[in-house]
Amino acid sequence: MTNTVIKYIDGNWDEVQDEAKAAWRLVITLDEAGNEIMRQRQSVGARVGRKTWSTDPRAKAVMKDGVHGGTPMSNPHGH
Amino acid sequence: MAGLFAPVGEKEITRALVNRFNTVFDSIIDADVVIVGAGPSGIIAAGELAKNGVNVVCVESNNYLGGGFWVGGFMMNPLTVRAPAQKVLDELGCHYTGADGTEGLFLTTGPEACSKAIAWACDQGAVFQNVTNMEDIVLRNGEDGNPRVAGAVINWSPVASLPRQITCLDPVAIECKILIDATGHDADALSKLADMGLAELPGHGSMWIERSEDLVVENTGFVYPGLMVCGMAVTTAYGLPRMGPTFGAMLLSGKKAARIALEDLKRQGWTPREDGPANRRRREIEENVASGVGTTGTRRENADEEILLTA
Repeated sequence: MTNTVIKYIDGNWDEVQDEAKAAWRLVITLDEAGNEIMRQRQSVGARVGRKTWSTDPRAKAVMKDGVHGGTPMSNPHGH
Repeated sequence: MAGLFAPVGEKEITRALVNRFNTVFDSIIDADVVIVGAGPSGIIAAGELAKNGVNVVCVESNNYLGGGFWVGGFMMNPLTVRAPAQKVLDELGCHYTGADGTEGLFLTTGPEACSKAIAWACDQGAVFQNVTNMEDIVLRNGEDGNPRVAGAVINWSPVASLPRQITCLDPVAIECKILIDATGHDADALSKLADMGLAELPGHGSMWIERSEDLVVENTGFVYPGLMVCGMAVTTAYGLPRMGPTFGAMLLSGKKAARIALEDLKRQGWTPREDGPANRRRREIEENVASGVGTTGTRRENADEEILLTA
């Protein structure tokens, strides 16, 4: 049996009580003893998320975006 | 013809490489924990888990380990950590000094800190599988009927840069009880879940070192059943500020990830096995050191003398 605790977080990464002032919420799953099992972020505000890529030219992220495009097997979800 | 080196030829060398690779790879096909990314947080998590008898493999896409830990920022070798992360440097046997006039800030160098972190993790029995991309994750329904990350799909990194029209090279998969995403800002494993609509991937915010380090450590942990994030992947997973050129949170995030993974493994019924792969690997290293063969520079003084005399 698990429990869920929701924390509302503003754009300054401070916890707020008012959901209207929140940029997102953290949904924290706890086990029966109250130990944290998992936390997930869910958007509630207008803050725009963005994907980021490593700037290391040797990194895989650059390979993925590079001219070769990878193999059919290397990109199964279109990431 | 007597030479300086032992009379060993090509076939013996090739056979030694193949047999050793096979033995080690076989031991990680069904790993307890797979860590993706061998930057500082991944290395520390791998070493800490191996130290506790966990069969752990750290998959790295580059041929070198260490990620951004070789350089302290702006291509400068001095590398900073803020207290209390210098305690991890103590554990690694890494030299450091206080930064002039700044309480709680410590300086070491990237080459020393990174090489000692890698050596420390290897000494604990962690396995590194470098030049290897994680192409995808394995998802299975867990005991509760909900999806759970249960492995990683991997292939050699160079495959990803071959022309698409000539490559249809299948990967292989390794299974695990826990996957740890330590791929830095890319959050590669989490991004696979995001592509499937199973998680958000907000990306990191702008730099705010003082706030980010605390938040990275605080939010290190499970982000999905079977999947943890540690290191800079935490900022991408939760939209936290990026951290900048200091590494304390990477080290402590790796430590925390290992502790949480260990607790979860125990909840799953895992117990350390004396004959398990990690313990076997560590015992082999310890026995080698005790017998004066090979590792950790045990015979370095004698070796220098012998080589000079022979040459």
